Amino acid sequence: MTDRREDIQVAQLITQAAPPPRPELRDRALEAMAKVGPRRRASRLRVVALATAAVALLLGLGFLPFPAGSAKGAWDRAVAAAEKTRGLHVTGRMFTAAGEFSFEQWRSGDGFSRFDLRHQGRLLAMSLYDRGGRQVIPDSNTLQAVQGLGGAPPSGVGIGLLGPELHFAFDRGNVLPPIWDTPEAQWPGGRKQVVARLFHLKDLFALRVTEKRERTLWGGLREVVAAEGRARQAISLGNVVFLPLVLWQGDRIRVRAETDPASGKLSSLAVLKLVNGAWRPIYVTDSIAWDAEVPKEVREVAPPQGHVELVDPWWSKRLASVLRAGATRSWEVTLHALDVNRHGDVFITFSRKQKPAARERSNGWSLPMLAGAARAVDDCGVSYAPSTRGHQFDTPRVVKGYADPVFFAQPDVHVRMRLSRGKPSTPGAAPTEVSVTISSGAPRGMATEAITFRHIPLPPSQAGDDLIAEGQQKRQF
Amino acid sequence: MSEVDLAGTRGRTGSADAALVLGLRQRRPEASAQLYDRFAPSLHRFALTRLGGDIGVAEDLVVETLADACRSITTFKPRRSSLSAWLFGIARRRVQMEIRRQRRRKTLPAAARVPMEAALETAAEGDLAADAGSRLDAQQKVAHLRAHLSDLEMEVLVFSCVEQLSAGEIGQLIGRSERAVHSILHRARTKARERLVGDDG
Repeated sequence: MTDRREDIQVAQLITQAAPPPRPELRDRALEAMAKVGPRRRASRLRVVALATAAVALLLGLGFLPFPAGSAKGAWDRAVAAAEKTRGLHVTGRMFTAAGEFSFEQWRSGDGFSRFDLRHQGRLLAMSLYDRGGRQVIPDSNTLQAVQGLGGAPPSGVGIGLLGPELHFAFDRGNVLPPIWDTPEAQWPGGRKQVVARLFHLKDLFALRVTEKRERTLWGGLREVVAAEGRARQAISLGNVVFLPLVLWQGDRIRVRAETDPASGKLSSLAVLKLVNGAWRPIYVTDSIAWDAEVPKEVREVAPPQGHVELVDPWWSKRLASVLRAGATRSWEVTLHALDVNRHGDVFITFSRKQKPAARERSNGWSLPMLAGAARAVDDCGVSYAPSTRGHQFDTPRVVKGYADPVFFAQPDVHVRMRLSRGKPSTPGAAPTEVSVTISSGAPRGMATEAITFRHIPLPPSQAGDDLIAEGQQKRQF
Repeated sequence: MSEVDLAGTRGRTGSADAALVLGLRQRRPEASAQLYDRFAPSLHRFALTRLGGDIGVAEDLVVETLADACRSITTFKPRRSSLSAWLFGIARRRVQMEIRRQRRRKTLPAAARVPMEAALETAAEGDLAADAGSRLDAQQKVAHLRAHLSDLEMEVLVFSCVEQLSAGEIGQLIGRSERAVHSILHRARTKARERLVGDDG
């Protein structure tokens, strides 16, 4: 009978540990099942004979490349060669659940970069960065939609959401400064950025790499890097980097890169993803030109006449200042600004950045910041809680599927947040200072970390209600 | 008596199996849906348990197993095994291939990977922390169990305790005699008892 009790205990434990299949798996499985044909029986001898004949024919006609030895180190040579380049021009195509997209990308050593994304010839989105100070990016809705196109995330963002109009932010005030430590490696325009992502793939996907040399049909030589791996975590490679893809934990990819044996430079790149048991291309380059000069007309982009832009000066006015700064075990937290509206509600603006050591500990995972992860109390004892009326959280660069209430895999964020004032126990009491607590929520078994900034003087209240929305203006070009 | 008819002679679900096999051989979409609804949860659980909670891989494995099953349904021999044992056989081969692939790649140990995404997605919004927490607790215990038992012992334990396969069916799956299965199961239960008492204590 002891055995019986243990059997039940084991069964309960395993059932509890394994979540049920996600609902979307059913459609995926049924699609895969519908696609398979009945198994055809063929004798092994016949299969071998046919394969041998096919290979002999292809070799005879010169359609199969002849192996010409190993090309060990080709990947690393491609990375090194790219770091020395003066500029880069890439054209290619991306394939997602939403369809086929073409892209064109320029980068130059002076920090300029531009990425255009088109669908059936129509420009959908453009990102342009210029170290001279000018930056053009899609507005947040377009950005989210374009990011969504890269990986067809659970939110199911489709091309229809992009709408017929282009939405760009031409105003520098709308563009947030990067929060990361290493702008050369992380911020578009850096030369190392050119192939940094390619290099990163090795770690992010635990790639198994094969490097070989082949002789082509015309007698030339090429080096081929073939790699296969699986994403260790959700990765948003964004639409402004070399590989504009969004991939999810467990996604399996194959990379095939060709390099020139003489220069070591990358000449083509294709990425395939395993979808329903079949390898499908998701990213293919059509041309790669190294040391390319960026044409003048590519650098100069003006807003189209009649373009209406929403100018949002909130961040540029607040992020430069520091009210308080502190750190928890894993996070550096900076409180930049505190605003008060006519009802006494407090609007806080803060940044949260994961410490490098914590990032290593978590292997790139970030604890999700749950809604309600900030609160305040004033010197009259009145509490302030996250508002349920809009602007509960508002942050840039959040993948749409995870925008609310969890910032998933988004360790470093700027946040603006409205904290509504509770009912005072003493009517008419006028608070003069406030203490603000910011915490990163976490599921049970994982540590929640919080920091409190005390005795912050309350600024005079402003006339408006929704200070964030009311601070925005429309500008027509 | 045809082989499909024979499927109807096995166990409580035998006649349902026979109808399902016939539907799959005739490539009826409703049969595929039925195959998914009946077996996907078990296959998903088996894959997750064997692969250390890697949701993405487990889902791939369920899809591949069911697609393989549809492709090879004509080779299913009801005389030899039940439909569920046959499906677990396909899933088991795929799991073993995946484990060999992971070992070659020297990826992170399974216990180091926290399937946070799954916990967040499946938990209800209101009790996110509690649901995710209890699931993480259970996953930790299963990870301890997995570390304590051999691959074969873990498999036999899952097939017997969770999936309720008979010793004969398990024997066919793993290529051992019924007696050997009983012996492995006894060892696995003993180790599980020590482990579970240790965890609770």
